[in-house]
Amino acid sequence: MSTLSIATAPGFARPVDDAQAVFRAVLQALSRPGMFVCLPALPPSLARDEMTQGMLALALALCDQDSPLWLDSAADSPQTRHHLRFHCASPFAAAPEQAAFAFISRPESMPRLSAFHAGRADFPDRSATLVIRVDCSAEAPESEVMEVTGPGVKGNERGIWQAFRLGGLPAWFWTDWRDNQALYPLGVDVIFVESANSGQGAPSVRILGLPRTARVRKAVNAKEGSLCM
Amino acid sequence: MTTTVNSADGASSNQPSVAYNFAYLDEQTKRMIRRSILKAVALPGYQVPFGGREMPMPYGWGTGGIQVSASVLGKHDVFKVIDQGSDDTTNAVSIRSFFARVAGVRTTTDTEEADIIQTRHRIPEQPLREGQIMVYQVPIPEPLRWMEPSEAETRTLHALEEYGVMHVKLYEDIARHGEIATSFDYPVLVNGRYVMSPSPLPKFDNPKMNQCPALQLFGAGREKRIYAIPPYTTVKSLDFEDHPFAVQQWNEPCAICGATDSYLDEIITDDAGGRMFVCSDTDHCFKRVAGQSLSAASDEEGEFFTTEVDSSVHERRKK
Amino acid sequence: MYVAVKGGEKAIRNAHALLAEKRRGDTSVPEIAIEQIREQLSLAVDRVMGEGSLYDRDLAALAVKQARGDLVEAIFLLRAYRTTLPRFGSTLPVDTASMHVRRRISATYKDVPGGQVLGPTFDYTHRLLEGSAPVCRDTSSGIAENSPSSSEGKLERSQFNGRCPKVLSFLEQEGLLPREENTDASPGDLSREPLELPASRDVRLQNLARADEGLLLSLAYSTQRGLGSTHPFAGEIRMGEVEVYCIPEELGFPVLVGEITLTECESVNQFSGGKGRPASFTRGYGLAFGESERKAISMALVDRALLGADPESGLDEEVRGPAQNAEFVLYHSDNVEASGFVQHLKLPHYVDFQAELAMIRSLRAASNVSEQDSDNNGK
Repeated sequence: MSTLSIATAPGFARPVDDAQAVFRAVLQALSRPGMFVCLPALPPSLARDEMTQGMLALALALCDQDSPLWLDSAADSPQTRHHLRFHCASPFAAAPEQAAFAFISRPESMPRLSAFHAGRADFPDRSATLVIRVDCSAEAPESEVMEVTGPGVKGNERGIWQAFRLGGLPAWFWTDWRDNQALYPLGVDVIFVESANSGQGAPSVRILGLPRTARVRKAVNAKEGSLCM
Repeated sequence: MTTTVNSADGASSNQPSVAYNFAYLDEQTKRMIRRSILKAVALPGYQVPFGGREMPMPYGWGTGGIQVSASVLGKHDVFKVIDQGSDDTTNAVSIRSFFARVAGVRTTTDTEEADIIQTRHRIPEQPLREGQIMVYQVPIPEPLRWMEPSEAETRTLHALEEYGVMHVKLYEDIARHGEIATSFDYPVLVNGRYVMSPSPLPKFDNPKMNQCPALQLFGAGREKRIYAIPPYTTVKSLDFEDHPFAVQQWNEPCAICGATDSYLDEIITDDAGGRMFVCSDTDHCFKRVAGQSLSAASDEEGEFFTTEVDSSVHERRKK
Repeated sequence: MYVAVKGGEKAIRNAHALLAEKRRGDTSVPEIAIEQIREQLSLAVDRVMGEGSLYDRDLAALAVKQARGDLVEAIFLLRAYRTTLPRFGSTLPVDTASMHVRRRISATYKDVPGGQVLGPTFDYTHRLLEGSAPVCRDTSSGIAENSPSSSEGKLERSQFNGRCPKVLSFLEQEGLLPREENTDASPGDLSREPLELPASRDVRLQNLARADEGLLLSLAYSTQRGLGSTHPFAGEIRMGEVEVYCIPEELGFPVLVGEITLTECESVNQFSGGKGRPASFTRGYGLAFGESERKAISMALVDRALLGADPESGLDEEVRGPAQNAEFVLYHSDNVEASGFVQHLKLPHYVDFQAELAMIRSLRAASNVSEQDSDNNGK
């Protein structure tokens, strides 16, 4: 019976509308780096929750047979694989550098950013997109206020920065990000996904995008922002 | 939601009727296009190749824009389509009714109200706002194509950030004509890295792209390329210090609404070569007229909307 | 008084109504049925299926009717429908060696095992308009199918059990023509992935199979006239039915899903050797849905022309004609793309034209001023 329940675990309640709405949230997030965006639709959670609802939502909205997935060891499980194979038909990449999308549930032990495919000079679009689970609460371990500027940040041409707070990232992350940024136009793009449903009632998960154009530094005095309704 | 569409207009009734997905494209195609759009946003001005599909409209008639719109649109979005700045040109009408039919979305002619604006050759006069998405129809996405016909070559030039050929072309214009003789599809540099075709916009519209609060997406269906300018991105029209970029200007205001700061269409009014100039952006013009409490006739579908113009504004140019 | 017309939707509705009326024509003439098109205009149907990339005789016939006989428009209709179809899987490669041939000719050998089968061809018809004569009459008298029509056909077909060996295989056995090795690599698919250069042969062949017949014909012709000559012989042309199999994932063994008509052409071309390779023959390949012989031959010639500069082929031939230029051929071969873009000139361009007007006026004004200046200086 348990295998049957794995195979039939549902995806989005309204596959066409929900995938579109989640895509638009991701588009918004990558268009406005440093701004939190709420995911408007979530699939039911899996029994094993290392692959969170937010991460699953992104996988269901964006991945299919043409986009190899890589799961970190925390997100990876036979159940998750079965679920993603059933709903997305995605092939699984054996190594991070072969992935179009990487889903990282435990960023503290994730591979360095240089382990992922950064694209080719003539096709810089063929690079990985990393979906990284983070903790956004102020009490989160290693929580740090950072700030970002570049395309998508209002006032960037006047030297304005946009602040944001993320927790749970490894100590090397922002150094690696600077190296990733220096590869431009090559480089990976990142979507951070809030780990937990905040509060009661309807679940709500926020995401935050960092395209490779985003320059990030430790916050000086910029304001945090959100595009959540 | 599935919209049923009879594929054969006007043909006899015993033919198969065919069911299409929401917004026509199948979900797998939308996902592929959506992934391309996300990479395009991360690489402002870079042309992402995508597996462009045949659409039920001909290539060159907006299939790239239509595929982008179909992949972006949700059922709560309000959709506007303009061609030459106008909501009423036949192809704009055709594309608008296509989406009303296959996606059931609400359409509008009001620039402010629209969530997604698909356009050919113009950016509305009214400043765009945050949250809006402009979708441009692009015929030739490669700005270097006229100088270098080979795709393999131009891809390498972009990779090497080798834009000398473009500067040489613009400089030759100056040497021959005393100015840069490119009046539309005027090349821009996006985020300081990629030279990009803004699509055949008059260069008048180029400054509107710079630090625009709206997301701008470009779809070239036949050439199978998608590119993007994220909101608040620096877009610079190429020029030289001693020949700075400048936009078109007219000597007279719009003959209908009196605007002096909009892009004007020239209309031949009689056999003797009489002509007048009116706003190309019909929504902008109409709102200005309505705001001036001037006569605004009913605006019903399929009706004629007539604006009387004082004959004194007619100008005859005789050379 | 200036009247701004705001009647786009009404105009389009009226245009559609007029189109429907013109499509029907004189109503005192009976309406043509889809089945009549499918059966009696079958070569039009074949071309639409081939370039439309969808094997469905009824839909192709419907498209021909809806397009008022404009085949490029019909191809477009079929493509736009095809693109919405979900994919259930891929078939196994069809085996043209086991084709049930209805036509099979070789121009390189007087006779070959399996014989020359003339089949239903226009080749030796006298092109005399026949008015009320045989074209329009029923031909109910039975014709023996597949009877070898070549008087020299001494080798009995029956000995091959319906399988005619490939003519070019005799050259392969002699080592004069490299064998095409079967790789299990899955071929590219231009209807899913954008064209990327350099394109591999599988992708080129798919492009050519969907390409406009007129363009391929002209390109093939240009190679014969010397713009990149490949010295072709029609090694074998065969037309007939092949069986199509696929392996459903849940079954794991091949299942027959149907039968399609194909025309195949393998050309034999000269290669005089070079770069450490001895002289040998080379092969151009053409394959088209239905009875599409002109298309298949043209495709084979263009395939061979494109092979010359393909590093994989090792031929290392100089590109001297348009048919050898992969970028030129592959980017301009699709008539749905080409027809759309050429005809988009009908769309309004007021805005760009206004920009050009303003610029030309300003350039002329500037040059008038400078001419007057130089006139004044001259005095």
